[in-house]
Amino acid sequence: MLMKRVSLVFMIACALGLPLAIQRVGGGAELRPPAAEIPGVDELPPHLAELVPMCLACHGENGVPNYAESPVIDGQHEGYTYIQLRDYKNGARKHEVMNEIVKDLSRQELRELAAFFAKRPWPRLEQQAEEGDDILAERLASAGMCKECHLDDYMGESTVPRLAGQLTSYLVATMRAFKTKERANNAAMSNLLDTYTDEEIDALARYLGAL
Amino acid sequence: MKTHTSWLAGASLLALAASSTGIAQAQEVEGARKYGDIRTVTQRMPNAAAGDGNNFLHTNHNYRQTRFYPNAQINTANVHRLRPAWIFQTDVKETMETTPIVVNGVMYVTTAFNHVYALDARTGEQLWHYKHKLGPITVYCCGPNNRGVAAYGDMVYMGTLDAKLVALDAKTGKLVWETQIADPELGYSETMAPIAVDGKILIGTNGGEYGVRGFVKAFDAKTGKLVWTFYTIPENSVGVWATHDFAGRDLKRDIAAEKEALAKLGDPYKTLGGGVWQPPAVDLERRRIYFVVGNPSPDLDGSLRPGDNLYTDSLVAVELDTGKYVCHFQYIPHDVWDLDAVSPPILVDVRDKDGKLVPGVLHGGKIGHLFVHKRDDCSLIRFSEAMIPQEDMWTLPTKEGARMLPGANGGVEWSPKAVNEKLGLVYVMNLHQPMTYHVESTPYPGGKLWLGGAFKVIPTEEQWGVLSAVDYHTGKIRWELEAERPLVGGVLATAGGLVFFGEGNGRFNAVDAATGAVLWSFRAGAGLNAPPASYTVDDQQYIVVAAGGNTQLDYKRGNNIIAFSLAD
Ligand code: HEC
Ligand code: HEC
Repeated sequence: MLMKRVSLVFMIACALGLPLAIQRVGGGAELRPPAAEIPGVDELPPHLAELVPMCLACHGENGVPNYAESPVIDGQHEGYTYIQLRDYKNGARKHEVMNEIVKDLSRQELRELAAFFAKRPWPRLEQQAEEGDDILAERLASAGMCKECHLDDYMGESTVPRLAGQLTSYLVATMRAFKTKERANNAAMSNLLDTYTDEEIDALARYLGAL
Repeated sequence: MKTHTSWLAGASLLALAASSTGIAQAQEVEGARKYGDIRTVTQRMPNAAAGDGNNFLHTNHNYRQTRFYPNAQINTANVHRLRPAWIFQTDVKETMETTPIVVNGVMYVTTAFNHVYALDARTGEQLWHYKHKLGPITVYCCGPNNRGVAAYGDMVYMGTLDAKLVALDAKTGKLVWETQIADPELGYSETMAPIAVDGKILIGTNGGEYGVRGFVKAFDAKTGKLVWTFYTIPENSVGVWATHDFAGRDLKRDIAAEKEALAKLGDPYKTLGGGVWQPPAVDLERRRIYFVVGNPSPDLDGSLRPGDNLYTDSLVAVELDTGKYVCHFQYIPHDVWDLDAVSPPILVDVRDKDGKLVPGVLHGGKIGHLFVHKRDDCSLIRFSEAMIPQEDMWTLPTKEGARMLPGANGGVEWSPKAVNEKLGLVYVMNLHQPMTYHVESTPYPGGKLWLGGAFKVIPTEEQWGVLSAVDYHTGKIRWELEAERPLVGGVLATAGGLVFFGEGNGRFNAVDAATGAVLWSFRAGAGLNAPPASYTVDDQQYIVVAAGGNTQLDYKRGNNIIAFSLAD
C-alpha cells in the first residue's frame, strides 16, 4: 500500500480514508474528537496526545473498533500492547499501517501509549457465538492448553493478551495469520494454530469473541 | 525435638491466654506484642532447622531440603483424627505452589501474582497483606506461580514475576528494598522461593523457554546489593560431545552436523537457557550449594545449539561464599525433549557402591529416575529403577511429531521430594502424561517463547500419577501409590511415620511412610498442588497446605490455605 516514507499527517488522512482496504464495522471514524477532549490524554506528552485521535479513528472512539480488522486495544494489557507496538516498529509483526505509525516512536513513547490504552475500559461488543461453538471450542482449547497461558477466563495478563470479548472478525484474521505465519511474531502460537483447521479457528474465534 | 522452646514457652503462655478473649486482643498480634521481637530469624535458627519441631523456616524445611518434619504428635496411630483447624482465603484464585513458612507462630504464604500474607499460625487470622505492584512486562511460561518466601533477620524475601527480589519488613509487610534481578522483556522471571544463608539471599531464574542465560545470584540480605553471579551456562558450553546417557542409552546425536553448526554459529551460550527455579541445597560444612539446572533453549530444536549444552539438565555445585564452580553431573547432554532436572536436590548420607556411608545428593529427574550422587565430586553412584513408563528413548523430535515416553512434564516435575532417613526412603512424585515431540526451527525471537517446535499431549492416552518410595541405598522402589491424575506439588514426611501429599483432584492424603497404606484423606475442593508443611504452636502440631489448583495441568483453581490439627 504505502511503500515510501510518508508523513504522519498524511498517514492520518490515509487512515481515515482507508475503507477501501479495511472493511468498516460501524460508524464513528469521522467523529474524531479533538485530542484535548479524550479522557486521560493529558497524561501523555503533547506529541503523543496528538496521535491518539488517529488511533481511535480505527480502534474506536469508545473502544469499539471501526473496522473488521482492527482489534480492541482499550483495556488490553499494557505489556502485551507495548510488545506489539515494539514488534510493529522492529518489523517482527507486519502490517503496513501499524508499521508506519510506530516507526519513529521510541521505546519510552511506545510504553506510554501502551499504558494510556491499558487504562481505558474494555468495551462490550455483544457478539454472539453459533450453536455448538462452545462445546467444540472448549475441546479445542483444552487440547491446545490455551488456558495455560491465557489464564482461566481468557483474560490474559501482562504480555499475554486478553482474548475474552475481542472482536471476532479480528480473532479469525489474526489466528489464520499466525497459522500461515503471515503474523510471525510468536512462533509458538503459529506452531500451535498450525494444528487447527480454518473452521476450528473460526469456532474458537466466535467462542472467545462472545465471552 | 523442640530445640527452641525455652524462650518460646513464656510467649506461648501469653498467647494462649490472649487467644481466647476475642477480637480486641487478637489485633495485638499485628504489632507483634505477643511475641516480642522473636520473629527475627537469626542464622542459628536455619542452621538448626532440621531438628526444629516448631518452625518451618525453609520451603523445604531445612538447608538439606529433606522436608522431614521432626515432630511426632500427629502420627500413624492418630492421623485419622486430623481435621481442618482453620481455612484462610486469599484474594487471588489462581494456581498455588506456595510452601507456608512459619516463624514463631507467624505464617507467611504467597499466591499467584506475588501477594504475600502474614497470618497468625494458630488461627489463620490475617496480620498483613502485601501486593507486589507488577511492572507492565512479565514473561513466564507456565502460570503466574510463586513458591514462597525466605524469612531471615527481620525481613521476608520474595522473587517476583517481573524478575525482582523484594525485601519486606516481617512485622508490617512494608517494602524495605527491591532489586531488579534481570530484564523481564528478555524472558527472565522469578517463581522460586529464595534461600537465605549467612547474610546472603540466593535466587536463580526462570526463562529456559525464552532463550535466557541462566544463573544463580547472591544478594546482600540487608541492602539488596549483588554479591556474586554464577552463570549456569559457561562461555564454553560444548562439553565432551557425549553420545550416550548415564544409562548407556544412545542419544542419537549427529555429532558431525553439530560440529559443523558450531563452526558456523559459534558457541550458543548467550541464549542457551538453563534456568534454576528451585532452591539450592546448602552444605554448611563444605560451604557449597547444590542445585539443578533446567533445559536448554530452544527446547526441541538442537540444530541451533551444537554441543552438550553445559550445564543444562545437570546437577551443579558451587561455592557458597563466591559462586565459584565446584562440580557438575549432566543427565542429558544436548537435550531436545525438555526432560530436564527441576525437583530440588536433597543432601543425605547414602551408601556408595561398596556399601560405605558417604555424603550424598538425591535428585528425581523428569526422565523418571531417582539419582544418587556423591556429594564430593557430583559423580553418580546409582539411579533407581524407572518410576514411570519409558518407551522409545531417545527418539528424536520430528516435524510431524514423535511419541516417546516420558512426556515433557516428567517423570518428576518440580515437585519437592521428602526423605525419611531412618527408613532410607525418599518419596518422589511422578506423573505419566504421554506426548509427541515436534520440532520446527525458528531463530531466537528476542524474549518470546522459544520452543523450537511443540509438545502435544496425546488426548487418547491415559494419564496418571504415582508416588514412589525409593530406597536410595539400593535404588529399588519399596512401595508405590497410584493417583488418578498426574501428580505435581510435593511431599512432606514427618517423624510421626507419615507422608503427606496432595492430588490434582483435590485429595490430600496421609500415608504410612513404611508401607504406603493410606491412613487419612481430605477433599479440598480445588487442586492440591502445593508442597505441604508442618509446624507446632502452643504444643499443637499442624499440617498446612495450599489448595489453589495448577495452571500448567489445568487443575481446578482455588485460593485456600488449610491448616489441620488433631480433633480431641
Ligand atoms: C488505519 C487504521 C489504524 C490506525 C490509524 C491505527 N491502527 Fe492499530 N491496528 C490496525 C489494524 C488493522 C490492526 C491489526 C493489524 C494486524 O493484523 O497486525 C492494528 C493493530 C494494532 C495493535 C495490535 C493489537 C493486538 O491485539 O494485537 C495495537 C496495539 C495497535 N494497533 C495500536 C495502535 C495505536 C496505539 C495507534 C495510534 C498510534 C493505532 N493502532 C493506529 C489499524 C489501525
Ligand atoms: C504458551 C503460551 C500460549 C498458549 C498455550 C496459547 N497462547 Fe495464544 N498467545 C500467547 C502469547 C504470548 C500471545 C502474544 C503473542 C505475541 O507476543 O505476539 C498470544 C496471542 C494470541 C492471540 C492474538 C491475540 C491478539 O490480540 O492479537 C490469539 C487469538 C491467541 N493467542 C489464541 C490462542 C488460542 C486459541 C490458544 C489455544 C488453542 C492459545 N492462544 C494458546 C501465548 C499462548
